[in-house]
Amino acid sequence: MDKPELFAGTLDLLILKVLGGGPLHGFAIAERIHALSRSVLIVEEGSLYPCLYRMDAKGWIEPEWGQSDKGRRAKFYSLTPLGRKQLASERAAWDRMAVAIGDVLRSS
Amino acid sequence: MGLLRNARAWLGASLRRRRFEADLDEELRLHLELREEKNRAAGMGAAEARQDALRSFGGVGRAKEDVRGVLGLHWLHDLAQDLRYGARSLGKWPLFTVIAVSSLALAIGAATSVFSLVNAVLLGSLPVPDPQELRIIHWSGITKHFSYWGVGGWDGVRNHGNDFSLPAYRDLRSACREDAEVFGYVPTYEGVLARARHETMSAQGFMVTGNFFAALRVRPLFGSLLGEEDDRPGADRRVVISYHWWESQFDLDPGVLGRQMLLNGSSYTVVGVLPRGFSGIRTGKVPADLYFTISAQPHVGPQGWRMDSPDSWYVALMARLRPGVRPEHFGAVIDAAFKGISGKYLGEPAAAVLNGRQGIDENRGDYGRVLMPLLGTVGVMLLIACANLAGMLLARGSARRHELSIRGALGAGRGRLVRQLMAECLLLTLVGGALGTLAAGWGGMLLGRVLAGSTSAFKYDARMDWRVLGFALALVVVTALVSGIYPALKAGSAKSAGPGPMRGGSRSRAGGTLVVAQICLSLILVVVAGLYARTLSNLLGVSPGFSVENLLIFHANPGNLRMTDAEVRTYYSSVQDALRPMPGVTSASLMPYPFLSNTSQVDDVAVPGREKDGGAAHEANSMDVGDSFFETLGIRILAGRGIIVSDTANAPKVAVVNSAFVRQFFGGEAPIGRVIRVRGSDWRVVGVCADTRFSRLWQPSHPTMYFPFRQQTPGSAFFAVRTALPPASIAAQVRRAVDRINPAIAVDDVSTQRELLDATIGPQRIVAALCGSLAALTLALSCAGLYGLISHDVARRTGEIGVRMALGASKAQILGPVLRWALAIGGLGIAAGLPLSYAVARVYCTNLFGLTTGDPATYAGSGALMMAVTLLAAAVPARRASCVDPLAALRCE
Repeated sequence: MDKPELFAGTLDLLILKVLGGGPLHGFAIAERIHALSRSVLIVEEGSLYPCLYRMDAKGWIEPEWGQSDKGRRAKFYSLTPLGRKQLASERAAWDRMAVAIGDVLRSS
Repeated sequence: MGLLRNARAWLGASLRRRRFEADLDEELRLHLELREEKNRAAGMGAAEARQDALRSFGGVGRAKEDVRGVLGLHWLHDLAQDLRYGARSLGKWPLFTVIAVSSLALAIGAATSVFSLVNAVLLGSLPVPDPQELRIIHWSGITKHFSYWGVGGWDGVRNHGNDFSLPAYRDLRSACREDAEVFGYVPTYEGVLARARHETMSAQGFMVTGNFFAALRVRPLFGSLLGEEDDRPGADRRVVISYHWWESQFDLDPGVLGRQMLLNGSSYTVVGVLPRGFSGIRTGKVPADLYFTISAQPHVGPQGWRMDSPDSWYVALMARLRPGVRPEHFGAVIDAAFKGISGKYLGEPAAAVLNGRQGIDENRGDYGRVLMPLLGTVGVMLLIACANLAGMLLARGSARRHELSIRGALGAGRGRLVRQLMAECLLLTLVGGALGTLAAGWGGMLLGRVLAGSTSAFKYDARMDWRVLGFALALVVVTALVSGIYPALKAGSAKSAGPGPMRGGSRSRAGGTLVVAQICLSLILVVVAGLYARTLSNLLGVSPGFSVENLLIFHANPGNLRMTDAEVRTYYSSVQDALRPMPGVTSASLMPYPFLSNTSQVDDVAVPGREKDGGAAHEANSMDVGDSFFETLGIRILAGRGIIVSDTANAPKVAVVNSAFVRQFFGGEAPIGRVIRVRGSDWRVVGVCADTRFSRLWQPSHPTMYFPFRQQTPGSAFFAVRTALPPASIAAQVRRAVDRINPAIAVDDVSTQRELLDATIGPQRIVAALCGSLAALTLALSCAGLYGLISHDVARRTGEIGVRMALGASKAQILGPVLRWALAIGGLGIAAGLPLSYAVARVYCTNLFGLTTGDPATYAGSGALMMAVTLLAAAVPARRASCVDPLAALRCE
């Protein structure tokens, strides 16, 4: 099965985006990205957690222990105000780049 | 900001590592379980679901490492692992670990103890705010005429001092008001007779200028301190007391303010209590307990003192620089001002300022002279411990070659192995250092008490502050590096070398060098200890010329009670009379100061008719003593008589002299009936007594004159009481009996002549004991080193020895080379150590007695001892080598 590799740095953007909808734990983040991309994008789970810790250290997201829907202890991540700003700016940058790449590809 | 946040995350994670790891574990486990459930829901079997979950995660351990890497925790994790592994591997070698840790604890503990004293004595600051702003003012010049503390007689001599006249203080203070606040103080050297409640005490008093406390920026614990208004003629008589005095004399009574105290018979009001931490500006001395202004002088100072005269120089001056003033500038200002006012008294006058951060300390130099060599000695000891540890680590490294080569083969890099070995070494030094530092707190206190001697207290504050702890930590790190690096590198690089016991041949050259160095260093300590042990035994063999045992000594101080000479004489007589009939007392007499107390009074002597013999006037010790003095002290009268009761103030003036005096002043002629001229009077010699040691046990007998106290009366007196019982048992009764005679007079300094003698040889005793124990310790360490080296060598060559024995070598042929090797090591160490010892002794062993620094017996004995110990340490493993069973040895191959 041929799955597209994520561009470097895009995992941050995707995590920020899905956390924009509310706090989630690690597994749910991976599943949400998978589902929202219509099963195209698969997050490499081994790299998800280092990424989460890095974003925590940068202050974009904030972890908190809570109860999962099945009543188990789980660590939920939510966006901080700084994270929201980061999401907006990364998203704008992404849009600009997508348009630019599209322009290049469309030219003949 | 990001950096800060990162640092906080790192710090939080490091501090709560256990929690952090547990959380991470749980988070990842949840992830895997959720994936597994999902897989099962999709129809997989249990095992398959789990397999798939793990596969799609892609390495849990790796992910954890990455997370730790994100937070910079990986090295912490590695270090923890190294230390854990190190602890486990040290646990497998308990004897090695115990020896290494205890020798490190001893060495680091000793070094830290000594450093805590160095810190207190040489590095400490005065306990006041901004002590670096303080300056001490000194003058120098050729003295013309003035009375320096009431003593003249130095005219025409270049002199220097710290004491100024009161008018000079006022002039200097106003001359540099812009740059500094000049303040002054006068210690009451004689002490103040102070009576707070029942008994009269001899207290340390300080007369200060009105701005003293303000300039030092000392705040009272409660009440008020002295101010300018207290330092005017006719001001109310007020006293500020130390915390110690408040505690000992007023039982910390909060109602002490306003209470009256008698100082030298005058009434003073307590107005304030100083904080506990304020120990005065004279460090290393018994801190003053009572502070009053110089205006109080007529009441507490020496009688008849002209306190306001420009001729009386007695006020010690200090200054606090105003903010921003450079010390050189202040020095120039004070010098100029001093030159302007002192021309009448000094030729070429000059004033200079010294840093007053550490206060005034007359003992610092003395302690420094003892402490620095001591620091050097413990430094040497630490080096030996390092060398020993390095040697043991080397030996252990080669014994572990097998283990290390396996770990190397399994993929541990050289760096990882070296780091692992260094972690072990660090663990050893950390544990040793921690134990040593714990012991050092106690050791420093003990050492301080020992150094100060038995009669005076060690008044420095030798506490474990951050500087001492930092020193100990630095020692630990340096020790670990110095002793660990080489063995670790060597062992770390050995990973490719096979474990082969047949390699034989070259012996550990590095190990041998270390042991040679250790033997050399321990020899130095053995020699120094030997020199002092012999000095001590020589000193103990000295006959002081009087009977030391059963002699109780105490001091009665009429101080400044304004008694006339006749009244003081009557008092002394009644003390003698009260003592003599007491049960247990054989006889009693008085003297101005005790023998062997490092005190002497010297007077000029002229012998009419023999002036031309010695040119200028001679000097001799002089003592004003009571009747039956010679009987009480046990000094033999060789001719004529001693001092008797009938030598009264109105009787003809008489003197008793010792044999040394007769030899020097009469050149062997008959002395009885001759006249000597001392202090402007003529004294007829009526007796000759035997020579005695005078102020110190090791100084030869000096010409000495004894005068009747009724004809020449000392201001305060020591009483000697010859007892039939142990002196300590009647000390309290004696004290009570003397107190009753005049309660206003302080009775203090109760001791025995034996204690005084012990105190005078204290320094030699201490150095002998310290060097002796250090020598024993280093000797034991180097023995252990040599033993380890040789037994390791024998163990390594078991195979070779087995082969040689199988081929017919005799026991002697096996034993010979091993012992020869040990002899070579010992011989080299001794050959290098003897000249080094001599060099060290020349520099440090300055107070030997009865032998020179090159004493051949000491060197020969020390060398022989070293050789014997070396052979003993080698004999055990050598015997083991000769008992190797060839079959068993070859079977091991």
